[in-house]
Amino acid sequence: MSFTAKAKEIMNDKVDQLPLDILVWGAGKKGGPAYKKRVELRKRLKEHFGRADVKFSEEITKDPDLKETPFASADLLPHQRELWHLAACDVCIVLDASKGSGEEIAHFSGTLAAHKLLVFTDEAYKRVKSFPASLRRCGNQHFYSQDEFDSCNLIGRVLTLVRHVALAKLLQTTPN
Amino acid sequence: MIESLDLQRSERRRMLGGFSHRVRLSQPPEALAEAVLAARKFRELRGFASHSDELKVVEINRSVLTLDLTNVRLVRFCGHGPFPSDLLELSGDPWMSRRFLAGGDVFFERPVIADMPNPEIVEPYRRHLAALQQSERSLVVEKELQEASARRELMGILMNDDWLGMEVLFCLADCSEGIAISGLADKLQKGVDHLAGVLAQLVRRNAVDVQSGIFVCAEDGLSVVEQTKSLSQQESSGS
Repeated sequence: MSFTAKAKEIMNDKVDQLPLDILVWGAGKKGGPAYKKRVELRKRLKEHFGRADVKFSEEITKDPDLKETPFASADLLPHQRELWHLAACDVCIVLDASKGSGEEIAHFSGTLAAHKLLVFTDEAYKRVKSFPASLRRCGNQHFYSQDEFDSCNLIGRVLTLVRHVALAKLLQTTPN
Repeated sequence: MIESLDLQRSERRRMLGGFSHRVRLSQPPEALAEAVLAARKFRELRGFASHSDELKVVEINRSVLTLDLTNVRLVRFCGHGPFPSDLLELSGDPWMSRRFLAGGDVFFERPVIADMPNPEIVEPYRRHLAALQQSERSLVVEKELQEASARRELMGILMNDDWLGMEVLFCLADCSEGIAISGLADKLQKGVDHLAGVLAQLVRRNAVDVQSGIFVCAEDGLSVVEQTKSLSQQESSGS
């Protein structure tokens, strides 16, 4: 059996319809364009991956249905709750455009869930040495230009990378 | 309601850098309130002595209640059984100490600065241990990062250019004796230059092997092909 056009169609469909848990971290409501981009990214992710659950961590924390769980428990510190969010998701897109998200990257890049982070950083910071080196070494970090940020290109790149994550998940959960 | 105690440093709690205490309940709690109540009762009835406000519930999973002991300075167990092996493991942590009291009670505590032994004696050992733990952990994290990154990269190679990488793998899987790049280009009706880049990437990601200019599907590549066939066949037979 060759990899026919029909098989491509099936695989495309399966990848885009895979139930994924996606986190989007980044600037908060007062973050101006960075927050708008984050909201837009969530919208596009939801549109593209029809069965995905795309969340902001702050929404999970405020979800009354989850308040008795570690995901939103008032008994845990914010970074502890977010580690639970990260542990439960398939991929976490981090728009590295705010102080808070930078701190999240620095904190979580040392955890066993670090591989789930996909970090998007303005290329203006490409040579900043203080940024956690492990992320740069291991390919979690992607740089974007201001033009990409202003246009839809950045979101397109995120969608492509999330599709790669989805295919990896699909193949991992499929027995030979 | 409380059936057994199981003190352990669970994997999840280790991720949080703390210690957990799991309480197995004889019946699944119908609501969290019940479980929290049970935890409080447990503390009162079984002498779970701690700085009271720092006992936290972190997880309710069917019949198991996990408590956060990270900030609990002093914990007392009133029991007469053998010394729990998990506790022994904990006692190896330089921040923990343990002692037995008459009557089988067990105390362990996280020392405050004033309780710390002479730093000149402890420091070299603690620094050495901490360095070892840190490097071991870094290696694990780094290995996971590299594997995940490699996996994502392979998926990208398979999907890019309208699934060209996957098409190449399927074609190679069909040619068990391998094929030269020119033959592959003919079969796929693609340019050699076009295929060279994809093949190089697949070789780098161990999905394809090459020997004397002959390309064959490697074990990782065959596994991807089998899984993809299985998915496509499921869909075809379902529709």
